[in-house]
Amino acid sequence: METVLNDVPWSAEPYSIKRHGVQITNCDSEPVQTPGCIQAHGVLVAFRLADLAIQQVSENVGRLLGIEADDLLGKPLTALVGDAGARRLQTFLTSEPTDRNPLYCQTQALGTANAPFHLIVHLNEGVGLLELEPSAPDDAGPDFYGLVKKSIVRLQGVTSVQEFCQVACDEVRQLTGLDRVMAYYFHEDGSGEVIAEARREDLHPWLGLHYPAHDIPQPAREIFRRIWIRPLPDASGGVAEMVPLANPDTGRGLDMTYCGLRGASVMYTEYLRNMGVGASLTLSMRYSGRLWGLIAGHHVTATPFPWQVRAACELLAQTVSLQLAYVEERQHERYRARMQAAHLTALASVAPNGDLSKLTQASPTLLDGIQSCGAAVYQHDKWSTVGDVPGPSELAELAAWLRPLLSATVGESQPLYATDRLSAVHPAAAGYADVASGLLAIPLSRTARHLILWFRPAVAQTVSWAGNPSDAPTVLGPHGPRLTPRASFALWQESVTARSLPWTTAEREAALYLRTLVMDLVVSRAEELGALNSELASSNEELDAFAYVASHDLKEPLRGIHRHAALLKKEIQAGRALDAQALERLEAVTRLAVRMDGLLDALLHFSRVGRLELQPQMEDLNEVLAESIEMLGPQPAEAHCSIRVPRPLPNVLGDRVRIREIFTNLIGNAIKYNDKAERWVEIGYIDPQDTTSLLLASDTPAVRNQTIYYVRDNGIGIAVKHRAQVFGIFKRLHPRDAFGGGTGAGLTIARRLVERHGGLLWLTSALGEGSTFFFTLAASEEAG
Amino acid sequence: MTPGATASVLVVEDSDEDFDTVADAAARLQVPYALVRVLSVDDGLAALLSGQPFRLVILDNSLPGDRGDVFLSALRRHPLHCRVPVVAFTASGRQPERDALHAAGVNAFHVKSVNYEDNLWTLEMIFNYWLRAVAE
Repeated sequence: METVLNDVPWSAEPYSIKRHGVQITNCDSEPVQTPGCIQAHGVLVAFRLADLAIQQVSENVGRLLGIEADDLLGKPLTALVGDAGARRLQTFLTSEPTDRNPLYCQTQALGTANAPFHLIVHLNEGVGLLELEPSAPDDAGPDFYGLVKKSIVRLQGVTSVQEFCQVACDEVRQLTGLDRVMAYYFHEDGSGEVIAEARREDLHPWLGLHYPAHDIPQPAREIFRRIWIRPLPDASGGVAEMVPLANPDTGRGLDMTYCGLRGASVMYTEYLRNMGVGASLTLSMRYSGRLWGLIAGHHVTATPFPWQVRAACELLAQTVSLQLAYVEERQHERYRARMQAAHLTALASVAPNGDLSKLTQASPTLLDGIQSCGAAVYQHDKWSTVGDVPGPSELAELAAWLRPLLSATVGESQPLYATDRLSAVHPAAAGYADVASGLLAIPLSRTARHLILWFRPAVAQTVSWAGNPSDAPTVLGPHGPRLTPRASFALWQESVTARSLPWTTAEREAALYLRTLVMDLVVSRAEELGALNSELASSNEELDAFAYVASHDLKEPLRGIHRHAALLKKEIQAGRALDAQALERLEAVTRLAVRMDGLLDALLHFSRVGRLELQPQMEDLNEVLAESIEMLGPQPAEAHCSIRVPRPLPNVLGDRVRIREIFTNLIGNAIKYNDKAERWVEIGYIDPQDTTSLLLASDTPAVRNQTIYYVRDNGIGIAVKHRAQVFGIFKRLHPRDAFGGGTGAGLTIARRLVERHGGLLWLTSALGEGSTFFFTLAASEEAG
Repeated sequence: MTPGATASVLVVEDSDEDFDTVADAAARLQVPYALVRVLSVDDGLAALLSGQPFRLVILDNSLPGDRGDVFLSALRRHPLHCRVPVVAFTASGRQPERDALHAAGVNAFHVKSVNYEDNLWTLEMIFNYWLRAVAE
């Protein structure tokens, strides 16, 4: 800051509008808080709070009050306002909150002036500032309190920001009688826009006027963040300098931030005069420490703003600011809700098959969410678009440029890319700035291959100021036509060439939320597909292994058939008669064919067992067991095998036919694979609560809260190394014809049937002593 | 080899028809060794323990109970039989089974055909090679 000050003309002494003025080039460093001058229609007195000694006074004090500055400086305030006046002031200062808060204290006659003066006083960092403003006969005016109260009621009834600002303009105009009252809104880039206007009917409309950020220099913005009201009753009224320019106590120029009389920048007064404006009154609209906008009132002629009017306007500005936060938040909330509703509804049409092109086709589309002129979605190697978007090759080129940028944001807190000046960062986009100056993009995958893009046109495309082009003033100030609304608008238009409206926080959040939803959808679909794929792959592998094993087992009888047939043929060719050996061969062929048929039946049955729909019902397991024993026919009797059921079996939820088959297989095996003289098979169950059953081995699978059924025998037993193999299709542990033969598919099928019920089948065995097959018929309540 | 004992060819084969084919081939070639047939790995192991010397083992891999490679591994660890050539003649040419047999130290691997003459031809080649060409 010091270095800047060293470069300006006022580096050697305190700044004074009168002495130093400013140029457009340095108005951003103008010390508007310490202008050194006041508006010439009043008098400003600076006094020391401790002894009320007058330290500075405006040079016009002699002209307005007939008292020369030299007669006041160093004297107590009594020299100006008399003993009574000074006492009242002193009491007022101690009893009222006057710190950085100018308050009306009293009206009294001063010096030789005809009309009495209003005394307005406040403190700023220990310095007392007394503003003297001439009173007018009609100062009392209307009932300002009633007016403001009515205004506040009206303001509370509106919900949109635009409508709210319109009401504010109407009310300020009614309160002040000004010719034109406008609401300026400051965009995120600092540029301004007239979003509401109340005016005398014969004046040209300025609604929609934009102006560049530097039209309201930074120092002025800073001051508007601290004060509510800025009156300038006479733009041509001139200024009066403080005497002395520097405060004797501080050695610096007087801080007039809160003074109503604070002198105006020559830039501003020239601007007003160029517009043909004689007086202005500006109110600030702010919340959350941000200068949201201004309410600017203009009057064609100079007009006084009595302190009552100013107080009413100040109250209104404060109310507007308080209410604004609520109104804007509600408007944002409505917009947010609208975006979200549109996105959710649009996604519902995507959900069935994950086809994101629905976002551009079904109603609502992406355009019903985030405000944009066009949107594009890239998925499955193709674009789908809605609204105004760049051409196909332009989209492809844009996406290629965008992908690395986007993929860099993946994993960050905000995986998106947003710009309101695309062609500035990506010159190739200059050709389609009319549709895509603004770009908002979200990546839908890590590599940003899949994208959603929103486009916004250049602002200049969407905004034109309806103001009359010929309303330029005929007489311009020393800076020429630059300081006119028309030039401002032109400059602003230039500054926003190929620029779109910025993407707001709410819009970015909506895009990010949409991304989350889409990713969930896409990812869950991908996971689903992935799981299906791996399931399919493993079942393909299983099928492959299974088919291989099965086909080779099926070929075994075929080889035998071929052998017998080939030999028989050779023998016949050799002229040998069909003797007993030949008959044997034919019998072998028949036997092998039957065997092959048995294998094929078993295979088909096994494959059907995998697919069939179970028909589970509550069944009495005792009945099911009885049926299955019946199906074994004379087998148990022939084998001299007793079947034992130690206690009645419980009811069970399952498919009767299939459970019967499980029993038939297990009991049939138990009878077959037994070389004892006294054979027996025991069928029973273990209660879910019984974890100590002696039957259960330590390697029992984790089945909790399950009834375990078992089929136990005193047969040959199964060696540990073969316990897994017995469940393989066509796998036999013994030569083909031992133990009554068989296909070797029974246990495979039994296990599959148990698994179809959600249960498990396993066994324990002691070689030579017997085996026990256990099974459950429902999924375990606690998996694993 | 145990001096004086008559060497034979061990055929580990559970299928009667397939063993008959082996016997047919041996008969046609007038293989000068007796064929000793076992139906399973367990029986094969018992045959190894009998002390009888073998000139060649024809091994089916798809056997009831243990697979052929289990027998082969045991044979390769047996001090008397570890050098005996073992030729797999089996129904399945599946890679995992081939790998298991090679790992266990199989000398050759042949897949059974459904065609009787093809099987005869393969077996004759096996006998010719392992009992004549290699021996002389």
